[in-house]
Amino acid sequence: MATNFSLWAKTGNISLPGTGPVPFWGFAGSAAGPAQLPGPHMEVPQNDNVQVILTNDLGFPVSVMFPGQEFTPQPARDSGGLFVSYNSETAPGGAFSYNLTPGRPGIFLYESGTSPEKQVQMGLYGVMVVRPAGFDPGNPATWTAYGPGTGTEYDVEKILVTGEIDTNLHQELAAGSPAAEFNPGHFIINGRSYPDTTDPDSGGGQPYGSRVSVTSGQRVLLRIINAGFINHNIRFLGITPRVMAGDSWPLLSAGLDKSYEKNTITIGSGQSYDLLFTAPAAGQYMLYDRNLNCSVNDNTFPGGMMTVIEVV
Amino acid sequence: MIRNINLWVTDGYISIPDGNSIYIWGYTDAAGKRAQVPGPRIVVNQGDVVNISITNTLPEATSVVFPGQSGVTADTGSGPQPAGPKYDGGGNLVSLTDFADYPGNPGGNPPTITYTFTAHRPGTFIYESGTNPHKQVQMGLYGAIIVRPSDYDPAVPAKKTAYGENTHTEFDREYLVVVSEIDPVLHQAVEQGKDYKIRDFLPRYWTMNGRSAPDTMNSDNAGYMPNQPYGAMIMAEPDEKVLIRYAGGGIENHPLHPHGNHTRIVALDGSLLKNGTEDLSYKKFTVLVGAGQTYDQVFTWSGLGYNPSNPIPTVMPNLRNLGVGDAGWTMWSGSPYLGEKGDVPVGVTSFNQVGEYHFMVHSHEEMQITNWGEFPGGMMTMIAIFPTGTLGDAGTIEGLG
Amino acid sequence: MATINKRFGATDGYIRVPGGSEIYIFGWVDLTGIPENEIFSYRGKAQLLGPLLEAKVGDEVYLTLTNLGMPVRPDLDDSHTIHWHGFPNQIPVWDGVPEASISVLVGRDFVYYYKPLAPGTYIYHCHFEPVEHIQMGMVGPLLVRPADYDPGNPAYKTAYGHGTGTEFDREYFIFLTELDTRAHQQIEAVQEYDWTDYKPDYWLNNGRSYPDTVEPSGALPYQPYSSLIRANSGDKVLLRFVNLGYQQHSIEILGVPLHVIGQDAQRPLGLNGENLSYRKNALYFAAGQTMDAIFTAPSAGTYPLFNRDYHKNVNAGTAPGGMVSEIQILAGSLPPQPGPGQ
Repeated sequence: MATNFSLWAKTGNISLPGTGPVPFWGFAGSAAGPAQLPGPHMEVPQNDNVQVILTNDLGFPVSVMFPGQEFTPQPARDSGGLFVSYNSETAPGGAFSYNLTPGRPGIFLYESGTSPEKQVQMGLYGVMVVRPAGFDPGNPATWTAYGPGTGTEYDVEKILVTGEIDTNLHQELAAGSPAAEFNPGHFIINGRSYPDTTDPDSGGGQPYGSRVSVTSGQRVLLRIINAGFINHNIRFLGITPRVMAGDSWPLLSAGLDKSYEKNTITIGSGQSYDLLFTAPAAGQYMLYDRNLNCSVNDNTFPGGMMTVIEVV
Repeated sequence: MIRNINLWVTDGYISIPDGNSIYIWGYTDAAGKRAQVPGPRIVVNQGDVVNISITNTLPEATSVVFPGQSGVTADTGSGPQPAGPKYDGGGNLVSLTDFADYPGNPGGNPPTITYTFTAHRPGTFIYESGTNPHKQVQMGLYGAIIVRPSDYDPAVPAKKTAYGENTHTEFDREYLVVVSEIDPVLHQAVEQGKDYKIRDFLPRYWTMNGRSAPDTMNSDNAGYMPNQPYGAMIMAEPDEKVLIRYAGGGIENHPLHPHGNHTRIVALDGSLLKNGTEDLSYKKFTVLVGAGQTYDQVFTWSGLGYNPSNPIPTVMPNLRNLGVGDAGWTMWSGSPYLGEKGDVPVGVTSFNQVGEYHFMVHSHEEMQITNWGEFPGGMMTMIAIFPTGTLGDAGTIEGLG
Repeated sequence: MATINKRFGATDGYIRVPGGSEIYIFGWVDLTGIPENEIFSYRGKAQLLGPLLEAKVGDEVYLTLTNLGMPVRPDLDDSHTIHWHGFPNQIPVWDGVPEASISVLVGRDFVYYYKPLAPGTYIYHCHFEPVEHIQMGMVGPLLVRPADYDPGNPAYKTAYGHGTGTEFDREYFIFLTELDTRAHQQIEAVQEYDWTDYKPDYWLNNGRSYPDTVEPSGALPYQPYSSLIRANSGDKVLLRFVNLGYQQHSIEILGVPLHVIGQDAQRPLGLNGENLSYRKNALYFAAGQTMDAIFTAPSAGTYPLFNRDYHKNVNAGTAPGGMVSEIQILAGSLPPQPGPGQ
């Protein structure tokens, strides 16, 4: 089997509560489509041959890499032998094909490996979901995160990609200035800050909402992956989920059940957790960053990394 | 049982060993008292129905969230309703949960509210503000709840446990350490009614149970710290099982490193690390205490068997060839042996009592064991191992409830 | 069981960061076997990291600390100590905490004694005014071999003992610290520094920042440890991670997930022996923690190692730099490794 994806690296603008347009660099899913934050979700079957064709509409080299997955990177170096990119570059105006065979199911970042301290902060990241063998999107009976025997059957799945935005840094990098020190004042889930997180999915550059809408009794799989540069402490009120996988390594196997309940989950940069809970009684349940200086928009609470689990 | 707990939300001052006095907001257990940090300990039993009423005297609304509890209700006078986020007329979130308004708010909610939940699970939990928490939690509106297992019986060793009989959480002594940070500039801004700029957050003090070292090592209810009633000194005898409950009350993660031995982590956020008969507990020598999280762990120090008749295999130099008490004080006995006292240099105050051993417990982000840059200070205390039979009966943590 | 006699000097010196700047440090120097009348010539020659301290479970280690003083700061008569970080059931006189026992004055010696009880990756560091002395560089790697360790027998060349599933072919330290050069400059210039202003501008892997990290071990005179990791395809590679900075870090190797078989010098084992070892893509860990992770070297190629906190992969703001290093996997031409990190 083979699955092809095409990405275009482009400039764009996002909107955050209380700011004007914030320039960013992101991946678009079509030649005419807008750059988006995060990039388009890629969904692929385990062991598929995946080809990602990147077209670079930016004025400098970019790349795509697949951290957490097993593959052989092709770093690019300068004349002095220093890394300039952790994976093959795509030249400005050019296109390059990246190949990967995801060997295990889970949720992974794809992101630029070229000056990632700038390009990932600017938005060149997205999520690849690798489905286990036997997964059929049309048949809910087959919906598991990691396949049979991993305890990851679910009814509703939601991906939450966390990150931070330093608007000054964005302005300066977009203007071609040297990067300022990283000092984020905006904190995002799926490219949006609260209250925009609770708006529905949409078109445009910030397409993914983060409101989790479920029915009481449903099994909910929350897949949290941190594309930011700092750790976050994801806090649930009224719900204590069970951690079923860390970094897409399931914790329950035939030999041992290492899954555990936890109310507030610390997630380092580049890490992911798959959390499972049964939707409780109808009501609204808050989910937010217990690093309370990240549950704000600039200096204002509420904001930032916060959303609602809405049970009906 | 039904537990009725009354808290007042008010302000006060806490003392820092460098002489600074910091304005705080906090909880207290009687009308008219100044606020304390952390809030009063709440100790209840599994299965109890817990009613926590708060009376707000602050100039803004406040609330309490109970992470890890389920089915919390709130009652502002018209009967209990499921607690949940509150919005203004424009649909803007104003509080993570139902709140007590500030007194005298025209057309506002009452300044009192009662939260109710059933303590379904044993463990260590946090309670803290859910209204402007970026400010109110930093100002001191946080505390801890201990839920005893339903079969808890401190008189029966097999039932003196954190999570119930046969959960391998028996303990001889228990301690609770709630950690946090203080940015004095933000506290001063609140005191003076200036803008509260969380983006400028830059802590200068770090606390255990609301105190910075060396005050952490002082006893509970030390008279000169009326609003910081809880000491953070950990005391035990050799081979005892010491249950240490950490809670992250601040907004940063802190790596706490005990000298003397590893700890075994037995529960996270009040969830026992067991699945059926499978035990998921593990040993660590540095525990990263995440903001808003709790860690229950068991520490035991057994020593290496040295005593004057089984002497250490090295020669102790003469005192004048050693540095002792550089800070002007020492916890050392002057002897390498437990229960023995030796000489310490003239001019150095030894706080050692009966030849007990002291092992430091501290944040390994080392600037956090200073008071605004001055070592020793901050998020640091000692585990004191007393000679067998000298420490007396083990008390357990008591609190409201 | 062997008796190991070591002597470490505490003194000051200079290291180099990429770009050529010399940074003032405090640190350790190995005086083992040096005649007494030559010891003075080691003043001012501190290295970052300190010398590797290696022992087997059951060995007896007599470690003499000699306080050589600070030739660049002769006014600074600080004492020093050695704290064996993570040593189980320690007693205070050898624990190195001045507030709870003793410290070693300038010009004096003190003998620390250790009989290691458990294998794993540990750290040693000075605990005198630790915020200053650790940041200034008084840190070093410490590893304890299992009692049955035998590098000549693959089944006994393990991190935690025969039968623990921790066999390895090669091993490397990844010892993380940070450098706040303002603090180092202030201390060199006899000025006070407010440690609560701590803000590093260099991030170090084995005492070096990229690209010095990938230079060979002898390339920098006072930074003896390369961070370059090399293996043959199929080798089991043991990485001994240490964080002795003051920040949390998230370390990732592109293309290579890791199997965590030890943390804080313990196998993660439940009370009934449950094997709680686990796999991770990014190792997020804090100051004062250690982790042991094994991977099987994949096909030949270069696999970058970096801090996933990407803003830290810089030297004074300029990328690439920081903790970045390389895993070079060869097809099979590497000879056996003579010792850790080599």
